Amino acid sequence: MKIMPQKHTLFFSLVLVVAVSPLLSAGDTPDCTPADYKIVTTSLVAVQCKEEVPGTTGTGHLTLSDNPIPIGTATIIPYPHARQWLIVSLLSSNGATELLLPGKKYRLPFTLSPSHRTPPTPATIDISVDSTILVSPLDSVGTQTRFEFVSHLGYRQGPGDFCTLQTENFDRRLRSLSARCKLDTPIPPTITAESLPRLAPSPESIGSLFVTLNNDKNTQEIPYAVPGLLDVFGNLVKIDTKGQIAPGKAPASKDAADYYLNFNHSAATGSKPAWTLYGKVAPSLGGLHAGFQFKPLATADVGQNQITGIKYADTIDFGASVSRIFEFNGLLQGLLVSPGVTYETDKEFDRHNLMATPDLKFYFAHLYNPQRRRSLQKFARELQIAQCTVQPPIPNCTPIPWTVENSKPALWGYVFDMHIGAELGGALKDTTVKASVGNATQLLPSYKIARFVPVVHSVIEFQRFSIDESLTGRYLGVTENTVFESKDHSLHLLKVQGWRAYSVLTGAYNLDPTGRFALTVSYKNGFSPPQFRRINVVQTGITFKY
Amino acid sequence: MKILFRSPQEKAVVVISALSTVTLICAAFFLVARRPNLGPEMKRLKLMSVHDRVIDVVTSWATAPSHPADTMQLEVVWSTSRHDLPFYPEAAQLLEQQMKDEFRDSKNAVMHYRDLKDPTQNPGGSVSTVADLVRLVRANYEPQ
Repeated sequence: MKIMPQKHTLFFSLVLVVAVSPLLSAGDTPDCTPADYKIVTTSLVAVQCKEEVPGTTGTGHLTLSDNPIPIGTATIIPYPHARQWLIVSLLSSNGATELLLPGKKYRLPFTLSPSHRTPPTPATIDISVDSTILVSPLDSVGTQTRFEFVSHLGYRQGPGDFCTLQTENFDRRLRSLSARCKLDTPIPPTITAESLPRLAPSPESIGSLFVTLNNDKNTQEIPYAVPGLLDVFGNLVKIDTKGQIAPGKAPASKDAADYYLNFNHSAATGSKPAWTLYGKVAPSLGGLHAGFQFKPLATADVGQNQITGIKYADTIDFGASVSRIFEFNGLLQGLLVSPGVTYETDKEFDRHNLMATPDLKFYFAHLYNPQRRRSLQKFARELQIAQCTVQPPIPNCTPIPWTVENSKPALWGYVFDMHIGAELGGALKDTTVKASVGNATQLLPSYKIARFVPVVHSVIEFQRFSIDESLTGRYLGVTENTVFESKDHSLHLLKVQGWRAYSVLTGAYNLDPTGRFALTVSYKNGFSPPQFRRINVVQTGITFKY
Repeated sequence: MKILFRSPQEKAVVVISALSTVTLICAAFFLVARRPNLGPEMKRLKLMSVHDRVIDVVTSWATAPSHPADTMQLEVVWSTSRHDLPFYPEAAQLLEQQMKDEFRDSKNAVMHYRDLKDPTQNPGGSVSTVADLVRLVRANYEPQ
C-alpha cells in the first residue's frame, strides 16, 4: 500500500517531463547560430545558421565592427529550398547605394520571428569583406588534383572551363598550372533578394570555384591567383597565402581493394617445419552498374611440407564476381547477392575445375554489432551530451568539442552472418597427378561438380582479442574424383560424394587499434575442395588485412 | 557436347542446381529493375539546394530521426540507424544508389561509394562527414 503513492508520483513526474520537455527544448534552442555568410552584392548577404530556419523572417541593423552606431537596417527573409539559410537585404541609413565596402568589417545583430525564445534573443554575425580564400582538397589523398576555392565574397565572373592556376614559389616567382574550372554560380551585378534563389538554388555555391589540375602535383605550392576570376565588386581575386595546395600522397590503399595475407608456420614432434600461405586479393574494379560491383578474385591456401597425417587445403582460386546489396526491413536486414565464376586448381596446377558460384549472404536483425559500431553508437550518445543536444536538455549547458578519438572504444562486439551458395561446373579435362615425392602418377578423370554450400560465420570481439569461426558445409550432389597421396607417396583415385564440412576457427590479437596487423592462431578442421583430404591443423602467424 | 549422368539422382541434382541459379539471377535483375518514378517532382527538386537534397538522402538512407549536422561523420550516422549492415561497402553502396536516384538529372555520377572513408576498409576515401559529401556532390553535379 505504501508503494502506490510513490508509483503515482513517478507516473505524474514522467507525464510532466514528457509534456514539458518540448517546451524546455524549444526554449533552449537558439533561433540562429550563424555558421557562414556569402556576400552577394554591396547590399545583399546570405547567412547560414547551424539550425534550420525555414519560414523565418527578421530584422536587424548593420554597424561597423569598431563603431556601434548603426549605418543601415536589415530585412531578413528565408532562403527558399535552403533550410539553413537566410537572405539579408541591407538598406543604408544615409541613402548610400553601396553599403558593404571592400576591406571593411561589419557587425550585424538581428532577431528572427517566430522565435524559440521569450523574449527573442538577437543573434550576431561578423561580416568581413575581404578576399580570404580557403583552399580544400576534394579527392582522396592518393589522387589530389581537385580543389575547392571558397570565399565569403561571391564571384561575378569565372575564368571559363579551361583555366590557369597561378602559384607562387619561395622566390616569389609565379608558375602557371593548367586546369579545368567549374563556377556554378556567377553573380550578376544587378541581383535582388527575390531573384537570388533562382540564380543560386544552392547558397553554398556562391563564392565557390572548383579547380581540377590537369596534372598531379609533386610539391606543395601556394596558390596565388586564378586569372579571369572576378569578385562581386569586379576586382580580380587574389588568394590569401594561408591557403596551400598539397601534393598527392602515396595511396593508403589501391582503390577500395580488399587484400588479405596470412603467413603461418606449423610444427609437430617428429615432423619437418612446414609453412602455409593464405592470401586473398579482391579489388573492386569500376563503378556500380545497376547496383552491382565487379570484383576479380584470387585466393591461395597453399603450403610446403606436411606434418604426419596432415595436409593443407592446397587450393588456388581465380575468378570474378559481381555483387549487390539489397536492403530489407524486419528480420532480414540485407541480402548480398554475388554470382560469380571461379577457376579452381591447386599449387601443382594439376587440377582444372571451372565453376559458377552464386552466393547469397544474409544479414539478420540484431546480429551485426561489431566493436566499431558499438563504439560509434556510444560516441553518438556522448556527442549529444557534449553538444547539449540531448533530450531532455541539460540546463545551462555549454557545448564542448568531442571527437571519436576522445571516446573510449566499446569493450566488446559481435557479428553473425550466413551464406547460402552453390558451386556448379566441372573438372575441364582428365589430368595426371604427380606425387609430391617420387615418380608415382595417377590419372584423374574429369568429373562434374554440383555442390550446395551453406556457410555460417561469426565473430566475437573483446578489447583487442577476437575469435572468428567460419563453418562451411558442402554437399556434393554428384560424385567427384580426387587423388589421395598416402604416407609412402603412392597415389590412389578416390570418389567423393555427400556432405563435407570445413571449419576455420581463428583467434587474433590486433597489434594496432585499426586491426590491420594481428597475431593469429587458427585451427582448421575438415575437408576442403578440390582435394577433399582431411585437414586437422593448428597454425600460428601474422595476418595483414586491407 | 553430350553430358553423361551416372544416375537419375545425379541428373536431378544438376538440373535443380542449374534452375535455382537461373532463378536467383532473374530475381536479382527483377529487383534491380524496380525504380521509383518521381516524375513531376524533378522540377521542384532542381530548385532545392544541393545541400538540402543530400541531407534528405542521408536522412532517408540512415532512417535518422532528424537531419544530421554537417559535421557529423557518415559512419556515425549509419551506426545509430536501425540497419544491421556494415557501413563499408554495403551501406556505402546503398547510399550511392540512393544518391544516383536523387541526382539522376546529373550528367556525371555525383559520388562513388569508394569516396566514403572507412578507417579499416577504405582509409583512402575523401568523404568522412556529411559536409564532405555535400561538397563532393556540388563538385560533381552537372544538371542537364
